[in-house]
Amino acid sequence: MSNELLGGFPYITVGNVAMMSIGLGMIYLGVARRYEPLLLVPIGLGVLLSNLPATGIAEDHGFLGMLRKAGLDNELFPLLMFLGVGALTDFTPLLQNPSTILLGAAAQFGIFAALIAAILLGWDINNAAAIGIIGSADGPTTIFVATQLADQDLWGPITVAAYSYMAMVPIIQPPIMRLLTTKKERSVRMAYPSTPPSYRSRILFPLVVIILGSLIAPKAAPLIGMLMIGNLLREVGVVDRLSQSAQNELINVTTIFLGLAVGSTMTAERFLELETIGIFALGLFAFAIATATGVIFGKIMYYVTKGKVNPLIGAAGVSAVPMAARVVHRVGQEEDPDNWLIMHAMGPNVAGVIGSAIAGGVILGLLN
Amino acid sequence: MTNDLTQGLYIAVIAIGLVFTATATFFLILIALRWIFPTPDQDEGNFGNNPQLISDDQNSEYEEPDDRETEANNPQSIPASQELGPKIAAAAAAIYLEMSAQEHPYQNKTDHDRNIQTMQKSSWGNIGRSLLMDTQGSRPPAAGTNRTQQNILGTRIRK
Repeated sequence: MSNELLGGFPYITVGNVAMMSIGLGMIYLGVARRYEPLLLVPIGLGVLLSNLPATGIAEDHGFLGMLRKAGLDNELFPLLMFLGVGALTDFTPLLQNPSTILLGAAAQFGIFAALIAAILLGWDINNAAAIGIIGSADGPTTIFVATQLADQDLWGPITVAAYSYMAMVPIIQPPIMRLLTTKKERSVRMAYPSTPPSYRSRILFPLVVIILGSLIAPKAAPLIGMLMIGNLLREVGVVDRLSQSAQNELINVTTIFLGLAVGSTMTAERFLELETIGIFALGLFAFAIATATGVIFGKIMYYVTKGKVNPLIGAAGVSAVPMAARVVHRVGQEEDPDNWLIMHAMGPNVAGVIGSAIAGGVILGLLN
Repeated sequence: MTNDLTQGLYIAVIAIGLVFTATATFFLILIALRWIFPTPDQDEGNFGNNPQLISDDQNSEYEEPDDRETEANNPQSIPASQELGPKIAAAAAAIYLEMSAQEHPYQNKTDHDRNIQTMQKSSWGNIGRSLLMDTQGSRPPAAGTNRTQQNILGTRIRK
């Protein structure tokens, strides 16, 4: 009786306090530091709510538990997010410079390097693959794969690691880019394509990618399908209302629900484990390898084209759109302030989204 | 763990191969699309001007007037090409004002300026309307309370 009068205070544990502090830390990073605020703020709020003692919010019949079951357990939310991402993505730079799509594949090595490293550190293969997918630098893909392969305890740490490192791309990538390139290579100015892509090719490209991508990696069909449906809504020009809805209302509502649902998986008993630190370390490793392989492939293109491709754009192959492309532009301008690499980097950047979706689908296909 | 490692290496090799196969296929498709449709389509530029193409509302009854018809009916009308310059300038000015209002919502002096103009007309009706706009219809503070408020001239007064 007396405990009831004291509300939740008698039930609070050190773990609850620690997790609420982590939730508040995420909110702080999102609000004050602007590190992926659209995701870190709802996730932080989800963590805060789910760790309040004696509320039952995060349990199966609590509202966060219901959100989790409605959209996370069945992979609905990441797919809806991908629809919005597709509607927001402009594939024009890729259509203008098709060869940059290969950089989007090269930057997926980080996934598989982290997968092998995770196995060596003792994770079983399903969890290792889910941890490795952090290297895709793509939030919806990471959640989509993690919710199908990993134990539920790992969903939260994997998602938070992915979004944290995506926010830290400007810190992680530049040293690797400088290390692997020479001043001469970083100073390369790339030629701009003279003509924009035709309307028909902008419409046909997503349709062909849906069909062929799904045939090559059937398990990637939901991700690729939603991405390209969103892009098709944008490009056809006759369903502007649907495109606007996907770009705004749908993705915003889904982001709130997804953030809260992911946050609700991060309870003290699940998150405060030694393996969480391991996941964050492997996530960083995956990002570093992805950046490095992207730049190395960029260097190969530099030599093949006899200096016409700036190898820095390979780093944009990790799909953190558009952050990675901005980082490439900034590092390029350190050597040559008049060198505008942003549009060239957007090609591999959006290719990275396609590459990571294919990689995620292939992993699911091989492991399921 | 050895089994997992072997399986992991197998997955890594197969998966990276498939990713490259898929992207290489898309690369070839992109090349083919550029080859088949090398230039922007002729009708592409009309999308922004044709409401029937951009509207997804099947019941839309809007029909854009034909410039040639308008010009024929009104001999004093200016050809569309000559009207474009002022329209662009007006649009740019409107966008600039809207953006500056959004960026500095608390520094927007428009209402304040309007109030001063209203005062210069010395019309009680206008003053009352300005007060209503300033307070958003809320009840003004009671006389004698020690509250700082802004009067319609924008100067801070202490009651």
